[in-house]
Amino acid sequence: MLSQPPVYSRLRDGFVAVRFDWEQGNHYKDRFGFILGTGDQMLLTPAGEPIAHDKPTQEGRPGVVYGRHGCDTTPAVLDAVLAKYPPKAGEPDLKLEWFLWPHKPSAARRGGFYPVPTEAAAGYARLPLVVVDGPLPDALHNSAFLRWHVRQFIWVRGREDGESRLTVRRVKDGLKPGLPTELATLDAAKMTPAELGEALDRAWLTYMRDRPMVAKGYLDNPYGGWMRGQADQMLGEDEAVRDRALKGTLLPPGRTPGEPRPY
Amino acid sequence: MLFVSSLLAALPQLMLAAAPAAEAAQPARGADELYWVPTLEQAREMAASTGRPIFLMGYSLVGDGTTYTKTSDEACSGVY
Repeated sequence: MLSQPPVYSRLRDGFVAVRFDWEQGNHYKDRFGFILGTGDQMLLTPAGEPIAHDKPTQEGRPGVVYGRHGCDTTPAVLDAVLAKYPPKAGEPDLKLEWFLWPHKPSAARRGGFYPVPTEAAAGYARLPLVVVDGPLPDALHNSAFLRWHVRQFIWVRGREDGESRLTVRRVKDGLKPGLPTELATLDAAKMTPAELGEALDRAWLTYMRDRPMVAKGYLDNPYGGWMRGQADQMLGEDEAVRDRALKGTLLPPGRTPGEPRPY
Repeated sequence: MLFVSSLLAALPQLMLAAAPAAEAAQPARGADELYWVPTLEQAREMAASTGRPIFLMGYSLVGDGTTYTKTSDEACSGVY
């Protein structure tokens, strides 16, 4: 469903999204009463309360699970939620702290931490990492800058002292042999927001040219039958994205063709 | 002369505004387009500020980044 434009455009424009990994699901098990399974989804109010649906569910799951074992996350379902909980109009006023990767102890398992480590998240989401060292450059306090760039990377806070520097790198998961992991080291204090943004775009595009292809395990193993219908679409989209990246015409997430830089 | 220098200064923006037709039809981007935040706590902070409801997607990913789904060197460990 996420690859269908009518679905992901509503999620993009109206929702905040979380990749709810197992350890985080376990941390919240008491709150929700279960751990969200792979491919299962939940919709929550802005205050974090589950939004129930009235559709019959498979496997006796509670009526707050959407997606694979619950109510299909269709445009009509999302529209109904957005009608009841309408977001503020216009582009969201973004803050970097919402996207910086934390490391938090689990309340449910001694020695457990959530969310998953940055390296795992970067491999899983197939995004490059950017480590922010030293004082934050002004650009990272600029919502318009974040709207253009925050979705290109997994954001990690490095050391807080020293020079203001952004280091972009990729994890080895699915990476072709011989490719360097470091993509760019940016001396942020000496760059204008425009220069910094262009450098981030270049590093992101370099990553996208060799971005790992989508995991085929779910398509190939016996438990992947529920996704088989979408297999050709998924693989075709991945190839189209890589083709655009190789040609240099792939737009970063959230941008429209010809859109002028908003910062 | 002033007009010409202003035009030159604005050239990069004008080039962006007149993006080639090749950019017009981008492939479906799915999950890449969403504003993903790492934790539910951060999601609630963003939701409180923006009024947006929250979308949780369950993932089987475990701490070391491995799952049982990886089948080739150039495929990532996760699912779509």
